[in-house]
Amino acid sequence: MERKYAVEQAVRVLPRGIRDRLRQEEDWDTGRWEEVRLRAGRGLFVTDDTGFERPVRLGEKEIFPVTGEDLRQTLELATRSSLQGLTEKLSGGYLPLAGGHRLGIAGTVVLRNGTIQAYRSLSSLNLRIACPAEGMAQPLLSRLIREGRFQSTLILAPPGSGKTTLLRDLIRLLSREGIRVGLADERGEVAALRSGVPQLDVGALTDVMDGCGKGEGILLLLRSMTPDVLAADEITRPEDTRALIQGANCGAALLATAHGTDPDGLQLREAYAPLLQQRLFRYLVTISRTGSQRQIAVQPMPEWRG
Amino acid sequence: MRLTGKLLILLAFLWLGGERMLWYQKRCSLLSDLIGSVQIMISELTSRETDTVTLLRLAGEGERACAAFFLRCAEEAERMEEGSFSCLWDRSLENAKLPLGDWERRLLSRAGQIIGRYDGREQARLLTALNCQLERCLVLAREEEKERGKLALTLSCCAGLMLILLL
Repeated sequence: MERKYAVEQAVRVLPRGIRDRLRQEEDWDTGRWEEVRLRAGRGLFVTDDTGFERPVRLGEKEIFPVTGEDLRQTLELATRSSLQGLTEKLSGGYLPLAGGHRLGIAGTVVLRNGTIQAYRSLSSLNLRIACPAEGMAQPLLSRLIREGRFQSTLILAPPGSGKTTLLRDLIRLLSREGIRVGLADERGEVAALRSGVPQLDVGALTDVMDGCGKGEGILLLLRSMTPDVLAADEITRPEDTRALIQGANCGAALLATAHGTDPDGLQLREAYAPLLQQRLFRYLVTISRTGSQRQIAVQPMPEWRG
Repeated sequence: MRLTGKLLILLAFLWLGGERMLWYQKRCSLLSDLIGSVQIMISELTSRETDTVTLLRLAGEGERACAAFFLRCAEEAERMEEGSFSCLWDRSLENAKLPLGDWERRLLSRAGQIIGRYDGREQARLLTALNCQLERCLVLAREEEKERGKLALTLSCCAGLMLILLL
């Protein structure tokens, strides 16, 4: 899917007035938009692929107005009037949309037993447009596959730098190489399943578990799908780590992502320390971003320093 | 000629009475079907947290009297580009011209403010309460059908005969 069609598809969840105004923007059909933000009482903003966020104007000076009702209606369109089954995703702060796009949510939450149950009111919405970046991982493949086996790899990069996109492309390419991948997609960010069908290309040999924790998903995949590679986005909990260790002990290669820039800092994190200590990852992939350009580097995983 | 006229008047009044009697019958069968459909929705919400469009399609499956209403709602919900689901629901309810009383119509309209608005469990809870009310409506509608259905037919028949005598 071309980027400009991705933008066209993503903005379908916005109310008609906002959609029509966005279509009048000069760079509407360039496909360079990465985010559209709606802030109640403050206006409409667009972020392009350089990371620059600009307001969408109504006239010469005035910013296009956005009301709480616009936000409520966007949520209604994005959920297709179905909040059932989405409360967990809402409590994660965003909704997966058709086409792999995401709608980030901020506002006043209703807490019950310490977990987010609902949003009483919305203050901002961030429509993140999924960037189809097929082939992004191609240069890495020859380094990460040895004797037909994928070598366990950790992708490390700061938020918004394209970790999930790289992970998805790597999974797609592995699947094309005939390697069976089990993907624990807890928040539906990687494959974006809708009615069982991945909205984003993760390859024909990839089995996806979503809607459950990564730890549970990994163990279920291990039992039921016998994957060659276990993949998961953003390992954060000790149970996810335990499941990955179990997977590695069963002979599956690992592919995961982590927020951050400093490889040494990973050793201090509770979720990653056991994985690094046991040297379960062979390679570290880092992404750095300059403007709209991304640099991807592969290096052997640094030694554990205790 | 006169006899034919009288016969036609009698038939017209009988038709009016029959129509009313049929309305009561249709109302009962519609309420019974609605209860069945809402029950399916409750089960789907409880067991699978089915999304609204699929929920409406399942509620509209089969030969139920309310099938067309649910299917139309599903179609419109799928195409929805503006407004809210409750508005769409009310619009469909208005266009469907279902044989329902005011109170039953208001109850059904309330369902539009429940479906899709809360998590699955809460929706199921609220729809269960609504179904209880629909069940009470069905009991009353059956009583009305027995009492007023025949009464309507008898009255219209008498009115027709009286008019014939007066003419």
